[in-house]
Amino acid sequence: MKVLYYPGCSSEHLARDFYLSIEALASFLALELEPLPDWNCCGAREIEEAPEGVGLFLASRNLALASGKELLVTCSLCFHNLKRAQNILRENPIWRSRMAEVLKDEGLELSPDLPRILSLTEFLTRIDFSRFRSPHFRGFPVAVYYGCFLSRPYPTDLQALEKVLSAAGYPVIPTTLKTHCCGGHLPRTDSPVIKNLCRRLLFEARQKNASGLAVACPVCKLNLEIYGDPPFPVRYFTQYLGLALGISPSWLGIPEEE
Amino acid sequence: MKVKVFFCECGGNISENLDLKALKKELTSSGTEVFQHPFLCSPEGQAFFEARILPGEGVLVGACSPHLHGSIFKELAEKRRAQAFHLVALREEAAWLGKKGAYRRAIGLLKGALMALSYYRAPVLKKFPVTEGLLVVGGGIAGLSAALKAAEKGLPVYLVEREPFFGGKAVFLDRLYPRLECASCLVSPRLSALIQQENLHLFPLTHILEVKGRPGAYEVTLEEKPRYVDSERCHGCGDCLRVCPVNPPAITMDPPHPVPRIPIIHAARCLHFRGESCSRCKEVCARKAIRFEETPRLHRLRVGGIIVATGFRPYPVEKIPYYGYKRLPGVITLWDLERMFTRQENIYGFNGESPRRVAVIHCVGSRDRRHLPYCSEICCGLALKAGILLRERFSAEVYHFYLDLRLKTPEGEGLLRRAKEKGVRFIRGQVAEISEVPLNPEDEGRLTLLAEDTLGAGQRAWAVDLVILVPGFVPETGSEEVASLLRLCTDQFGFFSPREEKTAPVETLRKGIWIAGAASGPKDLSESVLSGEAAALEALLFLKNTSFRTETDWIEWEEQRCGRCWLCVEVCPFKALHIDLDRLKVEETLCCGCGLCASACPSGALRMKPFPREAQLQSLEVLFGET
Repeated sequence: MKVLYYPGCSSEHLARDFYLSIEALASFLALELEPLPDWNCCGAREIEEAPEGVGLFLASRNLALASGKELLVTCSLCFHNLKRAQNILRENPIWRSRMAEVLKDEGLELSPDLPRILSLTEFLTRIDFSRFRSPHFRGFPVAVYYGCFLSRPYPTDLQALEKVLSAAGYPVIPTTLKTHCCGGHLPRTDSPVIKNLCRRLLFEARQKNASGLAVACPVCKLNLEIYGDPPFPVRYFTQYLGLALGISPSWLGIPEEE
Repeated sequence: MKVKVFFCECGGNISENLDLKALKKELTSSGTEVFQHPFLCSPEGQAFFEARILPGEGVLVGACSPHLHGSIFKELAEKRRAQAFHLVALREEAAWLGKKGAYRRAIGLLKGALMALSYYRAPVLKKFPVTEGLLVVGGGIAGLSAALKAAEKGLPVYLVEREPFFGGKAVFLDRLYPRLECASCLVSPRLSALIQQENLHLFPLTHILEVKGRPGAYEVTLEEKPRYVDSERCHGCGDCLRVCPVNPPAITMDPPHPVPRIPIIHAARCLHFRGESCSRCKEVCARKAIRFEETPRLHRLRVGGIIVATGFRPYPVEKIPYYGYKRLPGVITLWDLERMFTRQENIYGFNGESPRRVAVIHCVGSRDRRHLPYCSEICCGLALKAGILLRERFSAEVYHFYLDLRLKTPEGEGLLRRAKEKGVRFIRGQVAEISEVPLNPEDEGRLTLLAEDTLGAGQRAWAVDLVILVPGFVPETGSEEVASLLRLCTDQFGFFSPREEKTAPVETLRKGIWIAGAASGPKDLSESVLSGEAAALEALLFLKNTSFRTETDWIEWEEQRCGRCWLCVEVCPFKALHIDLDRLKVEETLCCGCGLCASACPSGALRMKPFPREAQLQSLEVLFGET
């Protein structure tokens, strides 16, 4: 299976472990993940400060590069930005023609057949993990957490994490707060709100006797690690999947000492 | 044929936007006689209209939509033996669309209609016999009120109910809004009357398989599912209910006042049907009424009319994930609560103890674009009633979370006052989340509820033990099937549409079929009874006549031209066309001359007799030629 894949900037630094675990999973499952050639930043949050249209241009360029194909997006924020750009291009002919003009200077064409954007969580439900489970692996209870951008405003399958993790052999604990906010980019404002949000999320996981929390978004993981008080094991769901398949922790970006 | 044109000014509605004088000039110049009246529908206007028509003439009226006064003008024209009649909705199609272009639209419509009138041939009035029987679909309070009234007047009535017992949702109510009187005391006498009424035939556990025929003579096929208990032999002692080893029991007689008083065996749970050799109920039955070998039975009925009273059901709240229904203990709906009250079950909160603080959440799913974009009107009263009862029984703190309170009848306001005096609290705002994860550690073991308090201007959190969700209403499951069997129109939410909401609320667009109760929109008990009885009156008026007259002979079929694609049969919304040995047959009573089949026919084999294709084309040419 060959898939076009958008790693996003965070795969280079903040979420290096997420990137490593995805690559490890892909090579184990023989998925040919082909990074989108010449991809650029999706615009992230910072771009809101820039003049109007710059963020849309960044996202549109990626869409133009991938036009007509399926594009797998791993980071939640990238998923949101690309989805949003796609919606604007579909519904707003003025923005669409402006973007097409700018992209023409680069020799790119904004074809009417925009890519089909897939989130990693939904994409992995296509794979039956129970077939690949390591015989030595013993599952432990994990809680799941989707965060905002996989649940709104462009909802994905909110049972996807439960499906893949339980197929991989983990007893998944249902949680009420799985689509709540983790605080997002609030740490930069040093707001007290974020502490309460993160504490409550981890409180639920602990209250229900989970041994770990599976997340799908780099920012959620960062926040929960910084503000988790007392600390609680938070991992990317791809890392948990890798462990169940018997992949060595160091390949999955899990430090040796843990 | 000479044609006379009548304009109605509609008290300025038409004449202010439309230059009638110029219209008159234009039409008179081509030799047509034109009359004008300020209110053509008024008694004086009607007399004016009638006096100016001579036998054999054609009449064209330019007034409001034909749905409003069309039939009055038509009857007057017929009375004066006019040869042809046509109506143009000058008000809706020309004047109300704005001054700009009104004249252009009006003259096109009028000239087109004049052109069409020259081809006009009047439909034929025909008489059809009416069978006396009445089928009532749905044995809830509306259906049984209709059935009782019609049977009382001597009509043979067949009452069909899908569930094993009659009474619908009303039998599972504990108290009634607004006086908190006992519900079963009011409903059960009506249920008992069902059995005593001689002309009433009851079909529980039954659904409709097929409806054929025409108004006044429907042929209905019903399928009655097996009850596995012989209704002739059983006398309702209930011995069998006590010996069933399955939990929950496989043989039940569920409602507090079961009608008929005969238990039912649920085959899915019963050990006998799951291959085991249990027959305890059969052994204990003194009357030998248990019949494991029973099979579905078919009934064929001939009836003259049908009353549809399929009712409503609460919105499935589990579709709204953040309320936690069916996921969190201690979160129940109002209907669960009513059932618990009627069965006198114990009510426990989240932590398994009696609730100390209860939240009643109004408008669950209601007035929400993503769920029900409408208000169900009756739920506020039901919620208020439940709040008062919970306060009285558990002396719990009761909080109502509401958007707006809609309390019907003058007594509704009294109930609100009574609730406030008892210390029930009201918070205006929507609930954002119900979870088992507390905000403060000391609230562990209770439910946490986050809501906006729009009057207190802020977001607040409450720790509660029991949450009562009050959902809005949607049409009962299976009402789509009934709608497609009977070809009834529904609105965008699936409720049946009446012919006219205000002046003909129980009639449908189909002759001989009426709607009653909450099938046409959420209704409380008294409104359901009211509409049930209104439907019974309409049914009596129609069925007590031995015949009815209707216009026929709308469509002509040319066998030579027909390519047998049967697009016409598919397209007919009234099921008036059917194929009989490769020939098209028109059911005269069902055909109302809408002309859809004629316009769908690719080979032009169907001809609308009053306004044939040539007339339509020529009038279109005139219409677009003018513009």
